[in-house]
Amino acid sequence: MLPKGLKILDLAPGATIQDGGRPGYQRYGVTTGGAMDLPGLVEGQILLDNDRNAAALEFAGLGGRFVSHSRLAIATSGAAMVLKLGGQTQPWRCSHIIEAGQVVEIGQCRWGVYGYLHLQGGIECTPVLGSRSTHIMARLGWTPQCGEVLEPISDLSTDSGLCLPTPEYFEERLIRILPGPQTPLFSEDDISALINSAFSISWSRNRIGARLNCTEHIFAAGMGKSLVSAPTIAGDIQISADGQATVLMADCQPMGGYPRIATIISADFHKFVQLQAGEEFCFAWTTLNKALTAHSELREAMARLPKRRGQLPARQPSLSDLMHHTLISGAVKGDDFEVD
Amino acid sequence: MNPSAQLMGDHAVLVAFGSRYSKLANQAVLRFDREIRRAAIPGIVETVPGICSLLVRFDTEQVHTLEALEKCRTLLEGQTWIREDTAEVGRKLTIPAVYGGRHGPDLATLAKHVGCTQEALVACHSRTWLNVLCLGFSPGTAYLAELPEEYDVPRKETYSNPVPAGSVLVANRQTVFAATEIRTGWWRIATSPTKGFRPELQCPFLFSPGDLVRFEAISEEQLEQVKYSQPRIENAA
Repeated sequence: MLPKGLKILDLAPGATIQDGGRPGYQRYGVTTGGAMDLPGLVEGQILLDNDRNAAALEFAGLGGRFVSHSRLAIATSGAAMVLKLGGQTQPWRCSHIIEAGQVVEIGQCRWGVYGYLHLQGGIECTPVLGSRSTHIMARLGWTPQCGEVLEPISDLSTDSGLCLPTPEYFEERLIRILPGPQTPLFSEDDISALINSAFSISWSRNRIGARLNCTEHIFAAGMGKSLVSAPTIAGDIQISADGQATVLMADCQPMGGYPRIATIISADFHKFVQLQAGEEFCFAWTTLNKALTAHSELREAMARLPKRRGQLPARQPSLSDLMHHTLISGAVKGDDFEVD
Repeated sequence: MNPSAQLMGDHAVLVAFGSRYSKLANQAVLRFDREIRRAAIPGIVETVPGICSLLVRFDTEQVHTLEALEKCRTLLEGQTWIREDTAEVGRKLTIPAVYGGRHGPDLATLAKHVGCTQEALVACHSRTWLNVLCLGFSPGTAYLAELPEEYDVPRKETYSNPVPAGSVLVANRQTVFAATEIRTGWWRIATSPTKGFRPELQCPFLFSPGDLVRFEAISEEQLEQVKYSQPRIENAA
């Protein structure tokens, strides 16, 4: 008997398994890691009523192709990607029932970078240090490959065909930051350039770090040589010896020796990670109070999300579905499903 | 530099005891780490010792950031953290390692930089008790100090090919025990059969910050024998 689940036919590089990560091990050399866009991950968990530890497949800009071994429920969330079920385009940020033998295709991002594919109950694999997350830097967890099968933890429940509204933050082009212990090491020139220049994320980005492009300013170089390594947190903006800025991401090194000019606030980190390479954005200083308020608001918005689930319009049958159904008269406009 | 506690982002505090390595500063980090963990302050997710600073990360749902900062500052002001202290608190680990040859391809070059023979370097390195300052770079990888002044040799100009787990690396008077395969510019003088990271275990990490470590030179033949590959661990009184 075939294992239940989705067999991977094609998978773009950078795809990983992600849950909430493994906090508590940075003192032993392992940063928390976990989903790059945590609220984006949670959307899918809400669509399938999965718990908050459930793992999903995280795509880094490009998707993959899968075939289902069994009837199962999936959901997609995070960056809005092109989804086709049995050749038919379907809306993103929804839950769907997949028939055995049906092909699931996930293409490129229409906006955002990190998208998630969820299975009922989460994707099964052996947890390491209490988490299923792939950690690129620490080389922990499973990195799925073509030919392998993503297995759901729970059996199919009847609840599917739900959708969530597109979050507003994808429009955001202002990333709020707070000064840190090393900010005073920088010149006034560097500090004013940080908020007065346009930045974009370069192509040199992954789950460990995102190197920024800034055509207007080179930060004072060479400072890094005299600094003793100190513990890092995701969102730190470090300036390398060549005067370029890099933002430390979820799987960053536990310690860093380059000076850090500022740190992105918790409530904006997921907005930052979803910026596509080349998209211009700006940094703006904020206050601790505003940062904490923004974080509470985000948490409250996530808590309200289950109530914002809506019903997906009746699905347009795919060719393979038609083999199993009696055809009835009626027409459905293909664009009815472009709700995302 | 006076010890200080400052915000790092909106959910972490960095407690600093110096801006460069000193044994006293690192001991202060580890002492503060023990005390703040003992205090079991609600909302603290983890504490991360660095070489001369400690990161305190917390959950802002459970504790307000300013309250966490205040608790760190109160603890900091409660005693003189940077002080001579001879009480041993960590464990003592003796780790077997094969020096030189293919297990330590940089031994000869490092000996030249240090200005001694390879034999003298091995004798010195394996005689010295080293403190685990902190762990970092990769899971279980330990930063150890401190070697004598003549070992103040900078890293290589370029990164090497990846070095295997168990590599014993030296630069800037410090030693790194690589618990996983890493890419590094440090000088590889030995390799140990001891595992620093075993993810299949409930306690996967061999070292903890504050441990004392000494390397014991073994021969290539002994490397194959299990009885020589095990670390010897003594708990301090």
